[in-house]
Amino acid sequence: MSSSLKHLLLSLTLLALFEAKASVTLLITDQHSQPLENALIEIELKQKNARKQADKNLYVMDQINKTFKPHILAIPQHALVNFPNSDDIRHHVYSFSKVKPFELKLYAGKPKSPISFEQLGVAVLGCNIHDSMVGYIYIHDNNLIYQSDSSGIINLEAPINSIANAWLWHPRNSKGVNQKEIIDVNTLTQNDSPVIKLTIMPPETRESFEDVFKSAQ
Amino acid sequence: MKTIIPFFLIALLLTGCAHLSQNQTLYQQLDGQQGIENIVDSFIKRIAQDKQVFHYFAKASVSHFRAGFITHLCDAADGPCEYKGDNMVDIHTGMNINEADFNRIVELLVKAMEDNNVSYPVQNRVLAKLAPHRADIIKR
Repeated sequence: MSSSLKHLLLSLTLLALFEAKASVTLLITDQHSQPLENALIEIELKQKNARKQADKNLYVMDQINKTFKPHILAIPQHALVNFPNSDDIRHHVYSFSKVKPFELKLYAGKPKSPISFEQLGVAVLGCNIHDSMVGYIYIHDNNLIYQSDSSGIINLEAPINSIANAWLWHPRNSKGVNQKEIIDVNTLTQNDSPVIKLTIMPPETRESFEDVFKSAQ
Repeated sequence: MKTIIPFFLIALLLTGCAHLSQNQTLYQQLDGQQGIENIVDSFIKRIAQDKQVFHYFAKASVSHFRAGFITHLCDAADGPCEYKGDNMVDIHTGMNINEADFNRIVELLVKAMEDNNVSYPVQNRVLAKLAPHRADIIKR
């Protein structure tokens, strides 16, 4: 294929995307109609090959102030993730998840080499030392990912007409952390401001000092 | 004679005590495993109520700290344990613990020992065993 033809195809694809692009504002709520933060919408486009390319980015799951930042990191399959340990405090990061069991002893100022995530799914991260630290790595098939804010809002800036599949995920889905709910694409287009409801579990009780002794403070 | 016997007995008891404590390890003087667990539990309660130092512990796992410190104390007191946890430098690096806060923690440990009726000499032996770690802990 000549490079000019390639350019033409690329322009046409971009044009098609641009034309079909519409911003849909979604509201995600829990079973009590309360806004649900940290919900992910995963969108698979019909013309997947158009954007199917190896992602060479190095992703970062940091530890800042004894918290995983970001709380949820969405990465395409095979991506590499660094755990830089920016709070300079010793952590012992682990994952018992089937998609990627691993253990990382992080010493202050001594970050380890990045970890690659080969399987689709969710890796739940914890820290042996700091029980309140919980994070998630969501590994997807090179799709589009949107995350709800503290008001449960997602601005879906996707070309609605070219959506093949859509899923909803939340770490506390009552059916388990690995559950991806299939979303009927029609619900995204039929309504001006669609609302999607998901039944979630209450947060797991932790046993860090602040969780155990909050009342004593 | 009536007055001499009690004195004699007391003297005998005192030397007996002294003799006994000299042969006892610090671990035994602390009432062994149970005694050390009680001290650590009191220490955790003291930390939980202390506004000055609580933030250092806020996000730490209580059970991880409890198990680690029990083994550490048991090891330091020549008990039948070997502390294989992370060393003091690695644990405290990045916490920037200042001298005042370090002293406060020592104070809380002393109070925890008092909560469990540990005698002053035994308290001092514990502190002496832990003191060498001071430089590994503060201003890291």
